[in-house]
Amino acid sequence: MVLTNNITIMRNDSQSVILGRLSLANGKGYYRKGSYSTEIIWADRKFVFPSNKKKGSFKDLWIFRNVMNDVKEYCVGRRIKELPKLPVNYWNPKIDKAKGRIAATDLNHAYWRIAFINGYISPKTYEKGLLIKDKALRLASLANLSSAKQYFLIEGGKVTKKSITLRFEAYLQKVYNNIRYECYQHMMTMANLLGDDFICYKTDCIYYKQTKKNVELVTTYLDSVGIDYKQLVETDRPEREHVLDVIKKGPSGTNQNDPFKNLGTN
Amino acid sequence: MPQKSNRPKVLKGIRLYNYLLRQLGEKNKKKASVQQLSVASKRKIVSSVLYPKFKDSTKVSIREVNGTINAIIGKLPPIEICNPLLLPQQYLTAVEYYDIDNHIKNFLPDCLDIRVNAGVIGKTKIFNTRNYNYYTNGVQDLVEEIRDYLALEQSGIAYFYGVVKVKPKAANNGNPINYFVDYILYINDTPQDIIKPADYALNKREIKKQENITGYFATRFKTLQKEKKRKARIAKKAKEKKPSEIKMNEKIKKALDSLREVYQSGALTKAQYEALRDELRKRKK
Repeated sequence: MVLTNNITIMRNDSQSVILGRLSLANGKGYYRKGSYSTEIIWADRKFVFPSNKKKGSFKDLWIFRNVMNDVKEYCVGRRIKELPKLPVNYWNPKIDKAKGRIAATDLNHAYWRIAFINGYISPKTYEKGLLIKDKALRLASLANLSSAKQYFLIEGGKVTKKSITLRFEAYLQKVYNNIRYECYQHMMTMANLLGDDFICYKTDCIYYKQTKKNVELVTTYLDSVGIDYKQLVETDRPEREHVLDVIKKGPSGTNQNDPFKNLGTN
Repeated sequence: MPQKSNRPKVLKGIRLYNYLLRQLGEKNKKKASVQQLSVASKRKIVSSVLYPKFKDSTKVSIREVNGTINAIIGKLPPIEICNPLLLPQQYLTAVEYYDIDNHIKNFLPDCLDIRVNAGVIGKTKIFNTRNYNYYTNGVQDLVEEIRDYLALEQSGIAYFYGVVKVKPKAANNGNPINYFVDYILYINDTPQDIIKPADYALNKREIKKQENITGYFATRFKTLQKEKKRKARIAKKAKEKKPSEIKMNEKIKKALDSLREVYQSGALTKAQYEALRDELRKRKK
């Protein structure tokens, strides 16, 4: 199966027409349903039907192609070396229970920024990508580099259970992994800098004991590597009257078990 | 009495052009296994390739002309591209109604019988793409009628889907002459005419031929897509701004110039200047 740039974007409702045409032509095709779109591959022509549920994202689907093209362009003549694996979430093994105030620093669009800093994506893609409201779409466009796609065979106009899996080149997977591991590497470096004051990190957010020195250490480090962030600080304990008020009215959709529920954004 | 020169006459201008055209036609006719070019295609090849090559030569040898023409003939696609039964169906699918002219002209080979069919809105006669003309074949009228119809229905989604059919009163025997491609209009995914494709099963040999010509259509389709994208980009760039926007921008430009002068005179601090400048830039459309 050869995949070329012959992509036709159609209304979601038109799927049945294309399947009908496939059936009439007695042709074979491939079908894949994703959260953003459904795809039908008929020989070397691809039909894309953006999802009705995520209509708002339809105009931003360009990002998938741009990221893919940028990364492929970056990789021409380069040997991509995979970074060492690191965990997504990591807790300080020495800490049983954190006492005192907790500070947290959350990286802004971490993967996207790292992809840009490393030159995997062009400045134009980076800037245009930041304007996309749906953050998940940006992440999906990066994750798309490493994803294997399962297509179901269409025979006689009907989608069968037989499937094939399409994988992109291994170097694309390496690029995506490197973006992730570089993010965790930054987290681990900050953890080492913080020493015993480090509590944990979760993907792109690091938690540590709140002291002026620690906050400065983390922010200085992030400034030096060119990553944007937002500083989260634990708010003061609520007044007794406020607590009673909340008990009367009931919790307003907050997770009662979340240890960081009191953290507010600066 | 002047003596007759023994030197052969060198063809120039229109005589050279006609000679090349005739030679190309003859050579094309001799090789029956390749696509038979229409007059328009032959003229296009002569105008763009052959004539520019030989027009400035002081000596045109027949061997050189033949060699060039043979090379061109050799690159022509096989005659099978003119068989509607062998056309790759995926490329006859989902042609925007306003793009049908472009599709016929630039994608379909100029040796195919087709019909543009919008059901109750109207349909053209079966015509050969060799003699295709947007205006005289009735395609323009039909497209305009579809446009009006869609405006009344308040729906802009209409595609043509090509279906290979047997010509009226013709036998369904696999002879390419007996078939044509009917481009049926679908409005909101509903066909406007009956879809009754030719019920003819290709044999192994024909399937192999079909596979051989798919690449040719894929290339044409890709070129067409690229051209469409290029046109869209140009149209986007050329999209004129409203006169009010232009006027507004001119005013802001003047204001920015004055602000720069004031800043240079020292009346404003850098921060003040930058704040005012950014404020003005925001208003620019």
